Amino acid sequence: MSAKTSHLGPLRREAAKLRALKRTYWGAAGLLIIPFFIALGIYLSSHSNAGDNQSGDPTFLIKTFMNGLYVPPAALAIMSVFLFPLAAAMVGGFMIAGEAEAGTLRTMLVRPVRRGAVLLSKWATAVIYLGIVMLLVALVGLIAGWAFFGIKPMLLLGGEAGVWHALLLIVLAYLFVLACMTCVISIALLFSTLTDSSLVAAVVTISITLVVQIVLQFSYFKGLRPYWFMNHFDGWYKLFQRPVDMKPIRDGLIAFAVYSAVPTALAYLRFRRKDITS
Amino acid sequence: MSADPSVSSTSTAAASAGVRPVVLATRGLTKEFGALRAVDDLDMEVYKGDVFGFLGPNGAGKTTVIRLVLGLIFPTSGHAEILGERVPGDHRQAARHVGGFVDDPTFYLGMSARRNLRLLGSMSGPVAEERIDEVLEIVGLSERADSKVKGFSHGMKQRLGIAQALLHKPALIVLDEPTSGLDPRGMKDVRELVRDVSATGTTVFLSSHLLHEVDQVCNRAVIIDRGKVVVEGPVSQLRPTGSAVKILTGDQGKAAETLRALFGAGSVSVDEEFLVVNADEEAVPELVRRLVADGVAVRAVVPAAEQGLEDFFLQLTEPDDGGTRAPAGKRRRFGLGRRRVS
Repeated sequence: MSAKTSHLGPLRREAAKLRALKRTYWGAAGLLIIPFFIALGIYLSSHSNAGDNQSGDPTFLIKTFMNGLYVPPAALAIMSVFLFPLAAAMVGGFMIAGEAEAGTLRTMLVRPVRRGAVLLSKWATAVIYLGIVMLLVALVGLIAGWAFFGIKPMLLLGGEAGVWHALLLIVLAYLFVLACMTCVISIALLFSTLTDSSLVAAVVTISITLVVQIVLQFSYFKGLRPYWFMNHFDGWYKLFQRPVDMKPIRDGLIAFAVYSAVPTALAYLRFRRKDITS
Repeated sequence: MSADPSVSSTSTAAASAGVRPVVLATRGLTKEFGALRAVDDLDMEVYKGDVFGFLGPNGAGKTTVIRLVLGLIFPTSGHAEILGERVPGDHRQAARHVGGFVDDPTFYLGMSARRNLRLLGSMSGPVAEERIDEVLEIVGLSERADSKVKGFSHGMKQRLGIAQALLHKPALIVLDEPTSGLDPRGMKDVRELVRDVSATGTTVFLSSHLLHEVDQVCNRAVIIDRGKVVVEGPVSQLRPTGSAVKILTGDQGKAAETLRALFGAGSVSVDEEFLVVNADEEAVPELVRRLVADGVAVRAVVPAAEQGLEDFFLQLTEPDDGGTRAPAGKRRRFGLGRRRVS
């Protein structure tokens, strides 16, 4: 009888490590409650305004959005400004520097592994983790929206989408933002190879991401805006217009590809010759 | 490369010369951190079956050498060879022949011992569950196999570190101060474990600053200081040439004079409250008779052989009177040069 053997590939090993960390679940749980509160907020606002047109609230708009299908895009719009970049920076920053902090990087690298494969599997694991978290955010939003408002065809700018079509648009919108967050993960991974502190890697990444975004709001830097990936993070709005303007989406995807590839390549060059002294 | 990957060109030459094959060698290994030369043109060889002691004071460069050998850091010049595979260069091939840890062994604390071994072992290829059970049994952790490592004591982590090093049956295991921080019982267990591992034919490279540990466990040793080898050879020769006795009297100053006159000035040294005399056991009756004849009360005469290694180590590595260490550049053969009586 052949002996039972285990052979975990690089991705499964990284996934196993992430699953063994409590912070993996706490971080996700923190994000998952947000779409629920968004749905609750809309629900409570709509009920407090019932029969009270003196309040000044946009009752028509509230009524328009009393559709469970609007909760996932609303959550995406709110969370993609700061919370998803924060989660991406934290998980990306943890990947190398977190292991260096814990000392497990040296335990791993004395084994016959390729450093490039280790790095890329960590990058892929971070992207998959964030993708799963975003999928769960969308699902929680959808379930909460269905519970509070029910599911109806979605009113678009310039048209209407049936339920299944709307769901497809929601999936595409989340994938678009995930592509944007991949850039944040790549930048965090680069800093993760430059420091032995996952906190430093995450803070530097989120600071750069937000500070550049703020600086670009000044008209003096207007010409640089198309070249900064976070400037394209809201390109998914165009998916909900009829007709769909593909140019912002295309420009965004190109920027995301560049900002994912370049930091990851730099991280690889750094990591393959990095002295592991932690 | 030779057809048999386990035999390097060096080892072939060594074998043909009637010497055991070389498992680990460093060739001109040098590592600089900025202006600091942590490892300086280090050459050494570890042979198959050795339990090789790697000695040096704190800051001598022991851990840096181990990191270089294991491919964690990159040399400024030179290289290491593990069964003929160069590090850096053929790190992945070399790593298949070696297991071990540097500094304290570290694990994924949220996982059980078994899951850690499964995960780490899979980096070296498929790992059989039976082998995981076997190494846990060897290190005495079978009963805690499914407990999370975060609940393990320091000693248990050290033992688990040895288990993960043994998992893929490497030809060489490298252990960096494996008894560091352990209580006497834990130290004894780990040393017995190292002896057991060695008995299976695995070559062991043991870094330590505990001289008696090397004396007890190792057959060959090297002492390094400031990144250079200052002495290497069999541990049995890491002792005074000839035997020595330690003497405690009522008047150590007068006793020293008597003994210098009897054995020569260079044969007498001081070790704390004792005088240490290079003399064999046959000379003891005469030695005592002369001391008594000179009116010195003899309180104790004990063998001093166990002091040899420590004295030797201190002499090679401790700072001189000016507060700086004696030059470490010259490699020496084993032998004793004691501090003289002042």
